Amino acid sequence: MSPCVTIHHLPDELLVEIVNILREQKSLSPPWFHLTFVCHRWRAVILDYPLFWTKINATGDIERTQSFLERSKSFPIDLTISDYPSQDIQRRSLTSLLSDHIHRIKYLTLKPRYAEDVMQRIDSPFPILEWLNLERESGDSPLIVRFGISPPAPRLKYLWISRSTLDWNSSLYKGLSSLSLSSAFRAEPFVGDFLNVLEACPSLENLRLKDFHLREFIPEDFFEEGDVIPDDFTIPEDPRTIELPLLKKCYVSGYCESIANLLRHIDIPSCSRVSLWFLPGYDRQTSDRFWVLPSDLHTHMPLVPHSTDMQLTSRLHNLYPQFEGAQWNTDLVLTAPEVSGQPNLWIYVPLVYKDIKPNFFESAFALVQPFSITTLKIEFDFTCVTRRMWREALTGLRSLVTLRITAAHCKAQCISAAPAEVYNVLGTKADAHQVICPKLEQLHLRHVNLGPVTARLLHIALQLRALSNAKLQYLDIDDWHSRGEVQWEWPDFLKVADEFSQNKRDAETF
Amino acid sequence: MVTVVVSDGVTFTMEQDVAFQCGLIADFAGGGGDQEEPIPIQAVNSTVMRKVIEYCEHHRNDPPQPEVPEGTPLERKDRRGRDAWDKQFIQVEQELLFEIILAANYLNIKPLLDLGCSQVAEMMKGKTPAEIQQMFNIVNGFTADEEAQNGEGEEKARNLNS
Repeated sequence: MSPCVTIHHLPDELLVEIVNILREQKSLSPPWFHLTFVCHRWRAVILDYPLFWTKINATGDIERTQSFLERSKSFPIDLTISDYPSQDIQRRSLTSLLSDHIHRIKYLTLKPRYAEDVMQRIDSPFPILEWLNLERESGDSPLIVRFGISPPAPRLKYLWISRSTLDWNSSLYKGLSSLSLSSAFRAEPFVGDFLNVLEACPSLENLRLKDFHLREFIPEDFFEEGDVIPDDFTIPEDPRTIELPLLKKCYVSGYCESIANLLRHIDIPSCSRVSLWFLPGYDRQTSDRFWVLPSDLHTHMPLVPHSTDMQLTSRLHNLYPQFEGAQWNTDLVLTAPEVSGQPNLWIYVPLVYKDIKPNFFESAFALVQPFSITTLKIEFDFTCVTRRMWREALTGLRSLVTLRITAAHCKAQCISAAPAEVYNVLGTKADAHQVICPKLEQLHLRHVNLGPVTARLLHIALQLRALSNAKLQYLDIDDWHSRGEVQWEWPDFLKVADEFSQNKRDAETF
Repeated sequence: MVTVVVSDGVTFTMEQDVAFQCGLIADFAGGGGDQEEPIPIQAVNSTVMRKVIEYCEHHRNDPPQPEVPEGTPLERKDRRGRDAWDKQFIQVEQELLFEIILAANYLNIKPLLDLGCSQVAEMMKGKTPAEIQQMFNIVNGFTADEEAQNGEGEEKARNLNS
């Protein structure tokens, strides 16, 4: 080996590796291709390495796009068209230039604003296209892209579309393994349209639908002037159930009715991870946002066509007869973001909702009971939940592994009651053998007032540990009163407990 | 145990799980038991070999890196993350750094090669071509005309997205 080794000794392939590391970094200044100005050798190596030039952002600078295309030689390219020329002559030049390279486009990102024009000009097939992204900035208004007859893309596997949509009968919805549709406003499918899409993708592994609404379940006032509004909401029910045996991840957000009615038609494997997020509807007459409860899913929920002439409250009462005793409030939120795999339940009860009925939690949990909730997060802005309600709510949630309680803005009179409420999560001091959550492993208490912090925390933790049959492994307590914060793995906690027990003065305080 | 002899005649004996992180040694030993004959490593000296062994001993329990399929786009290659120990380990003089990179390349130790290359890239980050030339003592060899063109090119490149 040379007595003085310098960067000149690195062979070309290592220089390429180093340049590539810089090339992967975003917002690098100066940009990576400044390295071509370092010396003759570096310039030759970089310009001659085709893979560096395969990620192409085609813009109005035709010369630059052409040089990337030439340098990438015959390798598959990752093409983004983000800044489409404004003049027709430039557009023709660009699309003519790209036409010769369609056969090697593997990844394609188009701004929907230009997609229609680009795709109309390029009508040759995409033989190796695997990934198509129609990406629209969040500030842009939604757009329907009509490709007409979509060019064949037999190897397309990943289709991501945001704030725009393709025709629902597009041939691009075929044989996909990943489909993401985000905010397809004003082009919502009927159930049947979307089931056609899913039926054409039997190997789907990842389904992501954001702000997803089925046309038959959209409130009438959602439509704008000029939109075609279906006259009749009695859509014949589609009898199909689409099997998606390979589905690993499914995320759907949208109106409750749309989600529930879509899920009735999909056979989701039990091992898949499903996240559901229920969005508010929008009531234009009162300009109030309202939130609806997630209903029982899959076959548990009856088909509920949206009826626009009902008042909000009566509509909710009709949708959820089991909540007859509850007083509806326009700010009530109950979401079940995940209903299989590791199910979670998140409940937020805001300050304004004071007249919560005693059976509220019980009824709410009954809805999600079939999904064996393992994580529960409850957030209060008020303190009127009684111990009895706690017990009522949590009875039956025997599968609970993680419990997070946040009682923001606790009122002073609640302080002394808090520890007792915590006991009630797992049982009571008196009947420790009656453990409500025997599988509890993690307990997070945020903004909970527990009084003199150390003594009470230790006492509570030991008590909970005993009540959980020693399964409790993690304790995370943020004490609102003292602004203290404690996070313990169980062995560390025992150490703290030992130290504490030697401190009699603190013990007496407790 | 595996024994190697390096370019300056020094021999090193290592346990198999340490030695076999070097693809070259694993190939040489054929995945079999203890080697009786020392394996000659002519392209690495003892100073560098000590650093290499230090690295391999620290990472002996790491899970193997997944194979990257042929033709995987450059952006989609997974690199092993650098932990605090790695960052400290690779803070060496330039000459030793390049020797480690060459040794990792020769011995076929992909994570160490990534670590070395990442360190060089880190050193270059945010620097202009002139600053890089100065840091690595590079004579660019450009003619006056080329220099002038470079100036224009750099200006133009600054306005383009990478």
